Formats: sequence, C-alpha cells, structure tokens
Amino acid sequence: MSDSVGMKRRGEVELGETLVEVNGLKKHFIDNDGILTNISVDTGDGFPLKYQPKKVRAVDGVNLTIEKGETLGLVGESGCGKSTLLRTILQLLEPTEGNIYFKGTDLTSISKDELRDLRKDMQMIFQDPQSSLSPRMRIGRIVEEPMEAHGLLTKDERQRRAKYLLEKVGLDPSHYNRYPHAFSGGQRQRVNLARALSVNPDFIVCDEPVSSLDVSIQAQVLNTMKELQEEFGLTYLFIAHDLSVIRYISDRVAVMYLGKVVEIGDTDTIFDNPQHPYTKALLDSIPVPNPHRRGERGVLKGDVPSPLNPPSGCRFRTRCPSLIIPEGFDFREDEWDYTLSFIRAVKRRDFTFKSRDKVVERFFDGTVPRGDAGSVIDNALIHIENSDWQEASELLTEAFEEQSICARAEPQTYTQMEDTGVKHKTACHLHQT
Amino acid sequence: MKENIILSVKDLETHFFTSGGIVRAVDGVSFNVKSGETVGLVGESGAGKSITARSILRLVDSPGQIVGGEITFHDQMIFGTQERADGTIERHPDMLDDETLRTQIRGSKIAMIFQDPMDSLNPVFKIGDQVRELIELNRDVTKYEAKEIAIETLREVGIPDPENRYSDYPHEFSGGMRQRVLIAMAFSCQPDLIIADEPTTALDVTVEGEILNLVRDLQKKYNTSFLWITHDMAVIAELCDRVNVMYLGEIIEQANVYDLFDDAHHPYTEALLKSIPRPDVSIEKLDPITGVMPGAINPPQGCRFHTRCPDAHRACLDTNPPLIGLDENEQHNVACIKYDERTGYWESEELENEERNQIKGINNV
Repeated sequence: MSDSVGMKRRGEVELGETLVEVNGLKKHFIDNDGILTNISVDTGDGFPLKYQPKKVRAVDGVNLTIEKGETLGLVGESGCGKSTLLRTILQLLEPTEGNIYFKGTDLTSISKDELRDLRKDMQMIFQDPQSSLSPRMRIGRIVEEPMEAHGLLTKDERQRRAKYLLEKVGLDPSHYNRYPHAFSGGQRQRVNLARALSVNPDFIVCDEPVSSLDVSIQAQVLNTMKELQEEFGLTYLFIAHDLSVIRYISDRVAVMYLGKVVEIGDTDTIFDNPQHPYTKALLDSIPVPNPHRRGERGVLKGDVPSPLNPPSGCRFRTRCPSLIIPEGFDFREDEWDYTLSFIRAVKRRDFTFKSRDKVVERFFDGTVPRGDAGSVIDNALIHIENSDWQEASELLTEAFEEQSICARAEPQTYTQMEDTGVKHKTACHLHQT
Repeated sequence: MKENIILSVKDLETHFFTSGGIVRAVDGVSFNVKSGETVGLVGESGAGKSITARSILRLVDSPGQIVGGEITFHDQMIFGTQERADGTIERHPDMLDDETLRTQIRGSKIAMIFQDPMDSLNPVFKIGDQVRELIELNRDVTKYEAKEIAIETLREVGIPDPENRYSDYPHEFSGGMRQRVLIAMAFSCQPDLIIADEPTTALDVTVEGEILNLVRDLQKKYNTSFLWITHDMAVIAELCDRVNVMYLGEIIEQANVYDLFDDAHHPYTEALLKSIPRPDVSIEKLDPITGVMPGAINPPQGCRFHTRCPDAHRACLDTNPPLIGLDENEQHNVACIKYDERTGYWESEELENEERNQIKGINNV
C-alpha cells in the first residue's frame, strides 16, 4: 500500500476477513420524561407505587459482521435505530446488552485506555460537514489534530501527512492554512474525510455523509470515497436515507426496522430480489428517475410504530401487506386481503360511515366473508355504525391480527446462500418451511 | 392553446443588492404554467429556483428586489414595468397593489407549500383550528361548517383519526403529517396554482412516495396546476409534465418530461442525469460534473456553464446563449450554441482546463 508519508500499516486483519462482529446488540434508553412518568400505581399488596421505567428499544438484538475492505450499507426509515446502532458500535453509547468485536477484541469488556487506543482504527464522518469542523481552526490543523491526540508522528511529519491527505481527498494542499468557512459543503466533507484518514483507520462509520450535498457534488464525494477505499483498504459502514446512494456505494446491504435487522445480503440481491416484505415495500415506494415508470410505485402506509412499545412478534406486522392468515379462519386469499385493508382503515379512521352497504361495497367488493370471520366483521360494522371506532378497531385487531403467527412469535432468521457466495438472511415467518 | 396558460413569467430578473456586489439570483427567466399541469423547476442549490418561486408571489425581501420582467396570472399583472419618457423604468400602472395581492391572490388563487412545515404552522395553535381559520376566511361558511370541512380535508390528505387529531398541536405531528396538513391547507381554498418549494426533501423516502401519490390524486380531482421546485430528478420524473432546468439564475433547458430524460440536449442536463445514482439499476462508476457552481455575483462570461462544461469551445466565451427552440412548436428549448450553426461553435477550438480557470473571474458586464 502506498504509505509514502510515514505511517506503518497494522495489517492484523486481511482483506475479506471479519473486521467487526456485532452479537445480540441492544441499546435501550430510559424515557426520562419527568420524574413522575415512570411511577405507576400498584394495586397489589405492598407499597402502592411502583417504579417502572419506560424503555425506548432503539436497537434491540442486532447481529452483523463486516468484512475488511467492504462497504455495508444500512437502510431503513427514520426512527429505525440506524444512527443509534452506529454510535453503539463505536462505543459512543454504552450498549445495554451484547458484544462488539473489533479485530477480535471485545470492545464492551476492555478498559477506557485500551478503547482509546483502538479508537484510532475506527473513525466517523457525520452528516453536517459544517458543524463537525471547528470554525476557528485552520483545515491543516483540523486534519493533524487526531494524529496529535494519539501521539503519532512528529510535528513536521504530521504537517506533511496532512498535506498529502488533503491532496488525496481532492483538495489543494496549498489551502492548508484556510479556515472551514472558505470551503463549500462538498469540500468541507472532504476535509472531514481527510481528518478521518489521518490516523490511518481500518474502519470508517459514515452517518449520511452526502445527504446535505448537491447531486453533482454528491457524486464527486462518493467517487472519492470509493477510490480511497480501494487505495487504503478501508471498510465502511454507511447510512443513507437515499437508497440509490446505498445501491451505488455498498457491497452488502442491511435493512433495519424498529431496532432489528430484518434482511441482509448482497446489494444486487437486496435490490433486485428482496425477500422481506418490508424491504419489498421500501424499494417499491421510492420514486425512480425515469418518467416511463411513473405510477408503478406502491405505497407503504403509516409511520414506524413507537419503539417504546413495539408490536409483538414480527415488528413489521402492523404495516405488513403479507400478514399471514390467522389459523382457524376459512378465508379465501382475496377475502383476507380485503379484511386486512378494512382493519387498517378502521384503525386509521380512513373513511366516514354512511351506510353498512357502502362500507361493504368499498372494502369487501359487496359481500362480507362467510363463517366466523364474517360475524366478527359484522359486529365491527355495528360498532362503527354506533360511532364506536375504538371498540371496532380493538375487536378486529384481537380477532384477526393478533391471532396471526406474525403477532404470536418472533420470526427466526432464515439463511440462504446466494450464487455469489454471500449469505442472504431474512427474518420473516413467510420463509418458514 | 394560448388561452389555458394561467401563469406566465417573462424575462424575470430578481437581484440582491449586497455589500459584496449585485447577486443576480434570477437573471432573465421565462416560462409558463398551463391549467391543470405540473411544471418542474430543477437545479442545484444556488441556481435561483426558490427566488423565482418567491418572486411570483412578490415574497422577495430586502436586499432582494424584482428588477425586471413581467409576471401575469390569468389577466392580472403581478409584476410589470414600463419605460418613462426619459428612458428610466417605473412600475406598470396595471400592476396589482400589495393589498389586492394579499387578499385576492396569495392563498386563495396561488397557494405555496414550503420545505419546512414548521415555518408555516403556528406552534401554539391547534392544527385543526389553523386549517379551520383558513377555510373560514376564504370561503363563505359558518365556523361550525368550516370545522366539518377542515376534518374532511384532513381525512382526505390521509391524517389518521382526524376527529381526534384535530385538537393536536403541530409538535405532536410527525414531519410527514405536518406536510400533509400544509397540503390540506393549500388545497382547502381550491386555488388555481400551488407553488411547492421542495416540500418532500426533508422527508423519509416512504413518506415522500405517499405524499407524491397524494398530490397527484388531489391534483386530478381539483384540476390544480403546480409549479414544483426540487433538486431531485426522481421527483421530477414522477410528477411533472414539463420541466425547466435552471443553472446560475437562468433556464438552460425546457422540455416535456419524457424528452428531458430521453433526449436531453444541454450539456448540463446531460451531466446532471449522468451524475445521479439510481435505485433501479447498478452503476459501476458515476460520472459527476466537475467543479462547483460559481457565485452569482460575478457569473462567468459567455455561457455560464462553460467553466464546468465537458463540451466547451472557445466560442462559448463570446455570447450568453438564449433559449432556442429545437422544434417548430418550441416545446423543447435549449440554451447552448452547439445547436445553432451560426455561432461558429464547431469551427472554434476546444477550451483547455487552464484557460477556463483564468477566465472564470472576469465579469461579463
């Protein structure tokens, strides 16, 4: 590797071997919304008040491995726990449970000094290039500072390396003495890249690094990141809300939903042959820059549920279009689809009740399903007629949604070996054979 | 065809008079919007998209000022100038005064949706009451009727359980829900034109997808025209009928959406399309536009894109090319001298990179 400017590589992990391993990682936050919110009345014997902290399950049991030299993309809607996962992996947040192995060392069990020493091998790039650069420091000094903090190289060598890196990330080394405000957003993000590279890390964690940049600048920065990865053998963990950026930069993609990884696999497989209903819905809902494909999109309705009280079983079940038919009901395929969209419309109070016939026409194509299912739906319709939406919603949810296997058991992870030799894992009941 | 043009903007110039010099944010922009169609305005930050939109409603604040051009909505003149006998410029006497513009145009005939919904919602009033108030002011209904309409409008834009959410405050809504409320407010007075300034940029992709569908459905139902401002080519592809591409205060290409994506002519549009990653196909290597957009105080002489243009020739320095029609109906227009044989583009030699950098700073005045 080219290391003309004074850094020896620590080649403890070879390209393609596991660099980072995350095992059963959990990060829960206690909801500290005032002192009384967590205290509830206990009607049983003993002291009448109980302290029951509400937990925000931001990351809730994540397993991942990242190989040296690859880019793992992490996608999911806002509130899925992507940024928390990143920060927990870097030990910027203390995990509630689980282990993180970096080059074989468990980061959760080592001392602060050891961690500090390992920190130089793990760097981070943030979304806002403006707020992550001190406005009062010259960019040369900004790039040198991490080396100084880790006691690397002499002053002259550091300066030489800073200039070398500025050139590597596509800046003019003669701008060494300028302040961040003299640079554009894209150039500032390049300064951030140079700073991250200064201590010669193996692993760079990127939290939406190109989201705030214009498209033409975004492409320039992405290309630079790819080139640097090849040259320095870097490993990226990359978050972007823009799925096209993820497709471009990643070798593998992990899809997160409400604190869990629901699908992980090779980039092309995830995009061209997704298995999890969430991944499918996510990909299906994004606009594509091709006017001939207009109107082909589906929609993923509703918001991500609160991580304070996540749904039982599979967490995607409240929005899943492929919820499995509950046992004990004699539904035809289309009848189940009708029922499901009816349940969700009632929950969201999507419609107004004019007459029973109109509702049945709109949701069930004119006829309510036969048998037990039909009588539940009839009861729900009576509640709606009496304007008791809450009751109707509870009745339907209890009778149907919560009887489905999707609500009663947490899905296991099913692994499939792709032709490319990459493991494709999906956590969904549909894949239970 | 002429009669269904509802908004026409001609040679619009909006400048900012700053201590550093005159920023020509919008510098001679012309386009129109027809009844029921969606017109896109696309470009990078600093291209002048938002200032163009704000100029249409005369919402440009000091030090900015509309200095030239003409904006007509139906047959009312929103902005116009005329020449005095001594050659100086004055306001056109037919131009609407501020009072009429505020009471008769803004909100009721032309509504606007901004990128950050919190800028448009008052945090200390209930969501429902804010929608209701707007309906009460602009439609001839009682308070009670207005509330009923407000609830129905909220339901129409997909707010779940609108009867109960009516009494929520803006902070209790998610970003996507707030943007839906703004869409509800924009549509509630049934305007002829809605100007949308990047309303989905800050949202999640799934929410963005839902909002785009919602807007399309409502547009079909009410036959509302849209001027949609965005930097995102995917949104343009999804929504727009015709597109204007802006670069440094000017429109450099206008075409219908299919021509723009299939048959882009301006080197900037071509480069822009080549530099976006795609969600639907794998791309080995992106081909980005080099450099950054120069400042609008001293725009490059000649064609403003020549400093970054892969096809720049020496002749590109001579004139700032006007929009010329590629077809007889002038449906596809492009501002590039490559397509005008009289300019001597093909005879002149290619521009070297060093030369561009030297020329960059020179003003074209």
